[in-house]
This record gives sequence, C-alpha cells and structure tokens, in this order.
Amino acid sequence: MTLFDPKERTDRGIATQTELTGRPAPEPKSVYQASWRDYIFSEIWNRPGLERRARFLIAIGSGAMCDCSEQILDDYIRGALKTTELSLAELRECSLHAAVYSGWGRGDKLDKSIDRIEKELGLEPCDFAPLRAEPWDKEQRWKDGQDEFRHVMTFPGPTPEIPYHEGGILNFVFAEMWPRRILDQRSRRWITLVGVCEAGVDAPIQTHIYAAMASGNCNRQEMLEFVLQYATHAGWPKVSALSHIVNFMADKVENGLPYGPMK
Amino acid sequence: MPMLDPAERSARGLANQAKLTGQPASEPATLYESTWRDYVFAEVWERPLLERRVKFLIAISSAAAHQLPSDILDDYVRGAMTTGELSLGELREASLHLAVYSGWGRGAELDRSITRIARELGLPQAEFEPLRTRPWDREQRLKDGDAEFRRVMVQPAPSAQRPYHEGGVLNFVFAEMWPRPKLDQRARRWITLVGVCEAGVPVPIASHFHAAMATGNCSPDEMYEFVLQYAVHAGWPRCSVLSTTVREMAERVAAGRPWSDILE
Repeated sequence: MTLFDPKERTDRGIATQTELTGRPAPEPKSVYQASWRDYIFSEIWNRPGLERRARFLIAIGSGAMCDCSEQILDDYIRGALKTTELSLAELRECSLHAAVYSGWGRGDKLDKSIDRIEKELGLEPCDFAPLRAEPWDKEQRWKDGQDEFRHVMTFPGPTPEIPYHEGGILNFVFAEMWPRRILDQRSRRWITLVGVCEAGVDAPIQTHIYAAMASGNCNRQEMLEFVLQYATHAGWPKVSALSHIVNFMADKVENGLPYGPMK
Repeated sequence: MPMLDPAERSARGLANQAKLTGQPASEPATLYESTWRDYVFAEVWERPLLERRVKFLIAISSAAAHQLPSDILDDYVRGAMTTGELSLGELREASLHLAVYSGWGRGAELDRSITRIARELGLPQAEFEPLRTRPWDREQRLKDGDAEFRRVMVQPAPSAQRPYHEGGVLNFVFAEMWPRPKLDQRARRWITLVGVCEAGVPVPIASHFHAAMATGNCSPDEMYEFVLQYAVHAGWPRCSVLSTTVREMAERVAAGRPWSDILE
C-alpha cells in the first residue's frame, strides 16, 4: 500500500492556489484557511473529471450567485484571466448569463469583479456586440426564442402566452442571450447549472440536468463531478439529491429516452 | 408588420433608466450594463399591465430580500421617491413589512437605503405612528389579529396555541402590522409576494397567491405579470413553476374554493 504524503499535498496546494488565483498563496493562519490550500486547491481542483475551464466557470458562477466574499470571486477571475482559461470577452458574457439565471443584481457582483481585475492587470477593456443591431419583428423574435430553446433544452419551448414565457424566456433568455456565440454552449451550461441549483426549485434542476447531457454538452461523469465541485461552493446539504438526479437523467439520455421528471 | 428599431430601444431604455433611478444614466461600458438599459429598463419596465408603483414595490422588495448590491436598492428607492410613486412614509412602512416577510435584518437594509436617499434628496424625516399608543388587553390583541388575518388571507386564522402563531402571526403580523393605514393592502401584497417567493416554501406561496386574488387586490393577469417582474430580480429558475401556481390558485378563487383541499 502506497501512503500519501501531507507535505506533497500541501506543496501541490500552494502551487495550484498560486496558479489559479494569480497571486502568491498566503500562509494559512487558521484551519479554515489551510483547507483552501490542502483540500480545495490541492485535491478538488486537481481531480481529473473536469477541465480547468469548466471548473473556473462553476467557481465563478457560484462566486457570483451564492453569497461569498468579493475577494474569493476576484481571485477566481484573476486566475481565469492569467491562466487564459477564460478571456475578458467571455467573462463579460458570464455576467449577463448569471444575471438571467440568478437575477440582474447578481450579474452586477460579477461584472464589478471583472472591472476590478481588468484594472489591476492593466487589460484593455473589450468591445461587446449589442443585444440586437438590426431592426426586428416581434413574432420573429419569439420564433427565434423557440428555436434556440429547442436547441439548448432539446425539447420544444413554450408558447408566448404568459408573461414569464413571452416577455422573459422567449423574448430575451433564448432569443437574445443564449445565441450569443462569444461564449459557447458548453460554457453557458455550467453557469446555468449553478443558477438552477442555487435557486433550489426541483423542476428546472431536473430539466437542465437532462438538457446538459442530452445536448451532448457534457456526460454523466462530468455531471457527477460538477455536483462535487458545486458542493464545495454551495455546501453539501444543498447538493445532497443532485447526484441521484444526474444518474436518473443520464440513464434516460444514454438510452435515447425523452425528458421525463423523476418523481 | 412594423419592424422594431434597436436605436429606439436603447433611447427608450436610457430615458427610462434616468427617470426610474432618479439620476443621469451613463452609456454602458459592458454587455451586462447594456442589458439594464436595453432589456430591464427599455422592455420590462415598459410592460403595460402593472403600474409603476407596483413595479417599484416588487423591485425594492426583491433587492432587499435577495441582498442585492446596495447601490441597486438605492437606485430603486431614489427613483420611487423622485417619480412620486412612493412617499417616504410609505417606504418606511415597506421596511417593516419586508422585515416580517424576509427577516428583520433584510428590513434593516431597506431602512438604511431609505435613510441614505432621504438625506441625499434633502427630505425631512417622515413622522411615523407608533405600533400602539393605548393600553391594550392581551385577548383583544389576539382577536384583532384574528380579524385582520381573515381580511387579508380570506381564510380562518390559526388559533393562538403555538408561539409561531400566538406571539408572531396573530400578535404582531396581523394585529399590528397589516392594519397600519399608511400603506394600503394592495401595496403590502407585492412586498408579501416577494417575501414568500424568496423563502421558496410551497405552502405560503400557494396561500398568498390565493389570498392576493381572493381579496381582489390583484387579478390573475397581474399575478402572471408579477412572475415575470420578479424573475428579472430573482432569476428565471426560481420562478419557473410560479405561473403554474398562479393558474391553479386563480381557478380555485374563480370556483370559490380555498387554497388547499384541507380547508374544505
């Protein structure tokens, strides 16, 4: 039996923490601080099941949507930019995506954090494509929303009858935000998953976990790995039933079955 | 079919943003900032069904209940005052109402925001009625709570047996807070609805959606519109099944039935 070495664990933690936060890892002064180094960075971030870019999206999405300090969010943003896992333009898309899945005010926290790190690193601000540059037809906008909904969720979208669907889901979330290609669908998926898990409402958790896999954006193992990483940001109780839902939905997807809720 | 124009959308958004936040709106520097102008202010606030006063009540309660950044809360509070949609006295009542439905600490956030903006605008202190000025009888206070509960919730009130009901729901929430005259019942309703939705517990969500319509404080269409307005502040996932609850409760109200079968 090979024994693992605590010094090796700590050394790896320091190296990973320094690289992923883009600044020297501070010497921990409490057991809590030591757990960032020896557990979160040394072990969670070095797990093989998800690439770093996905882990940054989960960490940044959680940093914006779960209540955590600005410092923690700033560290992830700096790390994502310095390791070039995410570009400035991609991060600006993340602010809007977080706003939709967690409320406009939550996007603010992320956008301001990006402002701070952009300035700190002396980066040139990036341009953004406007929501819509060409004149549009009202009906066509809903139809665009329905097409993108089907593309993202893998099942038909709602009709524009109630305000929640007409003025929100179709008109904006799927007609204008999801199709912005500067941030790819797989990346948007991780922020979405954090948002639905954070809201804690059963129905969207189930549909989005199904859609994440049915769209081919991620597979069962990646989704199970997501659950562990999200638990480190949101706490274990919130996450306790998620692996079960992942396995239930993965069985459906792998057997080519349509969406159906887990009772 | 007339085509809609992106320049007109942005111009309308910028004008609304300035008016509704009570301060000049600047040109957005990021994509996220541009969506406040082009979606939230240009489109969501322009929707016709709910009046501005109601949209402010939903926005202010959401910002405080969801612990959004204080400058977002300040902007809505300033806008509510400078447009005259909510008075200082009404806003002070809203802080207490929010404290009850979202916890006293969240009420503090709103009350502090109101103080900041009142100072910024140079407004004089609003006088407030104390909770109670005359000596009272304990049983009568519980009875008053019972009567107000029926008026607000359109269902029998709970008995005063458990502390949650006796020392909370009856003794304070309905005996002393809801009947305060400075903020009308319809206005209190929106703050309540945000509070129950933020808490995310199905039973109070259903009973309050039912009561909102059964009292005539709001119509089913206004309730459907509430769900969209709230989604902008709270995110879409949290609101995904609320429209279904509106439909179910509207059907019950139309049929003269209570919010739950257990009451029949």
